[in-house]
Amino acid sequence: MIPAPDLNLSVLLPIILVAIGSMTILMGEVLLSRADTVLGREVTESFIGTVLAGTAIFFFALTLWASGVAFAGGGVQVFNPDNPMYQLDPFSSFVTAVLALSALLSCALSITYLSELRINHGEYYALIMLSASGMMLMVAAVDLIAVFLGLELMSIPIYVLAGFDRRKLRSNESALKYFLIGSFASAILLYGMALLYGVSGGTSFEALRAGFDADNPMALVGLGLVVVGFAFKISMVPFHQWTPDVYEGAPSAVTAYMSVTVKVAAFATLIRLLAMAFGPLEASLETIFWVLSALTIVVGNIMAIIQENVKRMLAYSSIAHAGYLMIGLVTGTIEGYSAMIFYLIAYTFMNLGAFGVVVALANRGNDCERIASFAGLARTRPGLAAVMALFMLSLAGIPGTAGFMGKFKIFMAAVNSGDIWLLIIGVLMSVVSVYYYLRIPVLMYMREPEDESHRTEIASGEGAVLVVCALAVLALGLFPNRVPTLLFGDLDVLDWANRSVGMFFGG
Amino acid sequence: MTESLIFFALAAFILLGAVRVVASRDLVHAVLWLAVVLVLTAVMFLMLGAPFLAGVQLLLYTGGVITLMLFGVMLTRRHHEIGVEVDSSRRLPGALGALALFGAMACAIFRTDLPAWPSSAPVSALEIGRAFLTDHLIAFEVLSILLLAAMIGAIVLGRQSDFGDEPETVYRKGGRP
Amino acid sequence: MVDVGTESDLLRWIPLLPLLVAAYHGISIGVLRRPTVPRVAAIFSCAAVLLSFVLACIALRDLLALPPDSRMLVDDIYTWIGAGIGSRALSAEVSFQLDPLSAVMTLVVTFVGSMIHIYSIGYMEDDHRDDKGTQRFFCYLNLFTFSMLVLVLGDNLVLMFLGWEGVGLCSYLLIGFWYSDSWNAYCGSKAFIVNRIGDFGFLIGLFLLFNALSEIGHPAVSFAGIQAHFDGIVEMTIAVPAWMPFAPEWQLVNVIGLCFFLGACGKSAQIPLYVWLPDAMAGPTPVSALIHAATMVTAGVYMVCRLSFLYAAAPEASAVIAWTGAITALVAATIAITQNDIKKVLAYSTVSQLGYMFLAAGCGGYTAAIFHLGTHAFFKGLLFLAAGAVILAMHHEQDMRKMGGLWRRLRMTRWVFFAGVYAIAGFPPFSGFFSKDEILVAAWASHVPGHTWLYGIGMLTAGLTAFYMFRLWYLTFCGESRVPSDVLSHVKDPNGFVVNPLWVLAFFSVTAGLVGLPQIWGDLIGIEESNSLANFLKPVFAAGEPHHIAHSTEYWMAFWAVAIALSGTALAWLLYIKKPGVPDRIAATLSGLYRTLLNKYYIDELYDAVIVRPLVVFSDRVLYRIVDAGVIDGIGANGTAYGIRAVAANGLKYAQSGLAQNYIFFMIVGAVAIVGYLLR
Repeated sequence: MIPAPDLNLSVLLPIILVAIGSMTILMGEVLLSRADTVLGREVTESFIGTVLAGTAIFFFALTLWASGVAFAGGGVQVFNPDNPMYQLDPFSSFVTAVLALSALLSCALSITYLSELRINHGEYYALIMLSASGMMLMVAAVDLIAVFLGLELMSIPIYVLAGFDRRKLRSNESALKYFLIGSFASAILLYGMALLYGVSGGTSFEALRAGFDADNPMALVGLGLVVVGFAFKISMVPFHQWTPDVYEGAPSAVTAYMSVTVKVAAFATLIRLLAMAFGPLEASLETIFWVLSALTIVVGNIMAIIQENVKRMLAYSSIAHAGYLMIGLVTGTIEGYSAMIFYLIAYTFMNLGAFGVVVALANRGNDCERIASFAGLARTRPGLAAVMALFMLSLAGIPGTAGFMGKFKIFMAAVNSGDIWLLIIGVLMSVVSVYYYLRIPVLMYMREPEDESHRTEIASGEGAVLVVCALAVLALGLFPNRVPTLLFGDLDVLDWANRSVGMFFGG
Repeated sequence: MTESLIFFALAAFILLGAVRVVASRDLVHAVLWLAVVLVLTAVMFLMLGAPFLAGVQLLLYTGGVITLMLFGVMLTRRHHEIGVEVDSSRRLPGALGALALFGAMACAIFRTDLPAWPSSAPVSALEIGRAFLTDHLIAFEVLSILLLAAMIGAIVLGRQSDFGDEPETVYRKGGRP
Repeated sequence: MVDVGTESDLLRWIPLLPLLVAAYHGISIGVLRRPTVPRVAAIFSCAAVLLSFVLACIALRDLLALPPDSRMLVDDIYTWIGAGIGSRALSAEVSFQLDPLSAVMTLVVTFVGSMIHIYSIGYMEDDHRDDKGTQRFFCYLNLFTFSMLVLVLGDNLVLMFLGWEGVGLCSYLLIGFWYSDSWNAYCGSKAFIVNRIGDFGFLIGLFLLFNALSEIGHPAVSFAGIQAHFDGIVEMTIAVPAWMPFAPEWQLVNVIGLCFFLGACGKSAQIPLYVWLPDAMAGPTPVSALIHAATMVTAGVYMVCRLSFLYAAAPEASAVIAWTGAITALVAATIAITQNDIKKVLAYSTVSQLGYMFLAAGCGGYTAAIFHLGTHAFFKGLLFLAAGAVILAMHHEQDMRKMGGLWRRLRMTRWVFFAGVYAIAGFPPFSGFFSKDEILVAAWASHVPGHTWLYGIGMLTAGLTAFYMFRLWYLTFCGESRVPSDVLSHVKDPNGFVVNPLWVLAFFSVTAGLVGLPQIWGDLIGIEESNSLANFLKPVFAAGEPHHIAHSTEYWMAFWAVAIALSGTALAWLLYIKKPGVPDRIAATLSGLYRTLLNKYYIDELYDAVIVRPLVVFSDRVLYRIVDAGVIDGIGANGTAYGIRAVAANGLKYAQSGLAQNYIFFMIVGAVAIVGYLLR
């Protein structure tokens, strides 16, 4: 007879909800495709897709709500006190909420895009939900095993999603490439974890911290390899090269999803690892993060300048943003981490928005990918051009937008911990970044339209996502302390970011 | 002493096998070499006092995975004509990189005084099963989701295209400059 | 908060009114897609700015009612960046303040702004291009006014930066407004990017200042907060490597001051960042008048004056400002001599006059700088608008070589134009005379190394200014007409929307100098405290102790200033009226010098060769080829074609094996580097 462990199922609620959602979608598709009519409506392929997307959105909304409630409640809860692998605390519930929100928006963004490509299958949403559940596991993991499982559960669906458009060679290619290199990175990560286990005799963060010795070479190697594994996921130079290829090849809606959520999840996990497991070793990591951060900022920004494809440009821009985010890791202070969390939220909205515009411009499956094809958009589609300009300005860090607020907080954290040179590199490179971000508004507002027929009507899902992102970018830039919402009153996002990381510093 | 000897012999064979997996031109050969590597790894598990793990390794990988792979290769039409192109142009840098990484890690491991964990008795299947349902329950459950994800992924990627086999017809034009 | 000041909810409406109208325009174009009737849209915009001006006047009245030492109205709206986290928590408010300095700026911005808005109604009606986009134009214009007002009213550096970037953005949008011409788009981008270099300095300065303040336990970004605790950081130094100049220590406030000044250089077009302003003239003329003459470009001067307490404690930084200003004034004036485009002459003249203002600010004459800023806003705004009227009359011809003799045709424009020319040339009692004189006195009296030289450069520039302005005047209005006869017959004064604001501006160009009448002239006619502007501004600025100058010296200085202006005028008359052939002969004799000036010292070419091209080459050749070698997408079609061919020929195999291996190789190198470093 096995003694029943003292389990606390409610802690797992976010993941359970998402997992149930994915199963519902899988079964729902089978059931729906058998029926001829549902509630008097004819069952067509796009109808099924829309219903399933709605299901995904519903479950993500539930998850958002559940994690929001958990965050509001505060406190630390573990699933299994005997071996806490998964811990629901302010940090994990907050990041989970962010992930749920961005996954929700991605699903809404995908419906019409997928229908036009005629790949609006239920598996798509199921895979999105499965990978989201992996991310949620990862950010709440306090054990290397759970981290690794979460990472794989996050990655495998995304490998597949990158190749979801099976007829497009570039999509296939990007999936395969991502898979190959990703497996390699996972192997390195796992090797590092094994070494850490060998040194400390345990896989939990607590054991790692207890059994750690900053002079132990094997521990250092393990640490280094774990960092490499994560550096791949957040596309840090020189582990970034897959990024533009995969972002370009994957269907735009998938790129939107992965460019945002993977980064949020991986950075959050890294924060937790550093704060909870590697505390004593951080000093030795500081230089590494410093160099990686500087390299990432410089290479990302400069490479973005010469891109002619908007998805590649955004890929390099996302690399550059990873570099800015790294500054928070370099500081290692509560201020830096809090700035990172805020930056990640800002990045979520502006990047999702930018890719959302690319999705909305897709014309019968032909991704409107060339930067030149943005010419004259302000004339043909003024609303779309306006939000795109807003997202570009935000990515460039113009005050009044979320991007500025994020950069400002990150740079402020850098100054306060004395990293003046990193600050100078960061600010200088964000000056350079204006050059390529500005190209798109210039084309949209100051060129005549090309003879390219843009889809003239925007789908309701895409429109809603773009409006939400645009409003969020503005609100986070103008009132980060009191984002006005109709339903929930004013939201103090800055304070949330502080509170979520506060737990690592005994707050 | 004998133990170290056996270990190094095993390690050498595993390495050799792994290199052959990568370097074989014939797909069937590569798979067979992989089987060798996996079996030898199982032996290594046995040496480390993990008989259950060794058994599982044999059963799952050699019994399951390798067999499936062989089926896959055999069922592919004209599999004899599929030569795996081995791109040798990057052999040298690749080898150098691998050697450097190996060197760094070996150096680290040799410089470390490994803590002497008390050598435990071989873990029984019962204990492992129990751990799965108590301490590692969450990992166990998540694994099932992971497998589900992998399965869906395989189905998605393996399914016949919605338009039949006509890749890259519509999209070549205009999709990219 | 240190000195809270008097609450006033009025202030927020000064910037908000233009913003609301801009939002209305934006929604009507972008969301509803039903543009309002142009005339109505324009009237909305003008009304908003005029109302802002009225509100500013009311606020000024409230301000004057307060005792001189506590003249400060504040309007705290909400906390923008929350209290933060950690020991150095930063909190920035969205809060407006009106002290004498911002009052002057606000009045100038709203008043000149509303004149230019009204002028724009007439000017844009004449725009016969396909996409008139009047509403879009007014939308940007209002947005600009909003940003500018935020800049001058903001009570902290972060809010100021918001306005700072906002005006840059609007300037960029407006320069590129007539986008049918791709040159305009290029100019807009150039302006924005050069400005961003300045912003880099601004941000670094902001962070350094904040860091220093939080080190002494008073993290603050509001001006009042910074000023209150500023004494604590004056003595701070930063260590620098021995090979750097002035090693081993730099005084921190100097570094901060220089960083902020870099920002000011970008916005106010000073050497080395002035290159964008002349190109910015590609925008519509009202834009040139509003943004690139009267308001936005003076933001840098405003910032230096706003931080006067900082610069007063940073003598080296002040000296750099003074010298940069003086050299910019001289260089820009020399370029202006050779330009033939009427707007280009005015553009370089603006750069030169801004140099004057920095000269004053660097010499500690903050009042003089603001005084000149105000008078310059009037007469340069006037000149640009009048030039716009000429351009309208000439059917968008801007080349002065194709003008001449317009005196008889433009019967109203000629008078206002002449008032502007007379004012900028510095003849008494027009406004330019007093403000320029005060700058020269400030330069003479300052402690900046080589201040007599600065005075000399200032005098020389004054002469050059008179010369090139009268050259412009003679070429445009006097002499034989070089206008094609078919055009000449149509040349006439533009409509009332265009001309009437000119009269208003001309009136102030003539009289505005009287608000800052120097005491020596006040004594002469028996007015005590005649320099009311200086007395009004005095509480804001850090008081320096300039050299004492005897009254007789000041009279002599005024005399020489007039004399040199006269000689500049006389020379222009001699060369362009009396002996019109001489300039060409001079140009031929000194062809090297002439071509250098005509080509603006080849600065654009130099920047292109030294900065732009290396960056592109580095990005292309080095990073692209080496770091991301083998990436399929290329600049040209080659990469793409190659990639697709490879995929087509070999399926996925080829593209896969090659690139993935490369990528993994780089990952291994990275991993080895990281592990190696950790094991060192």
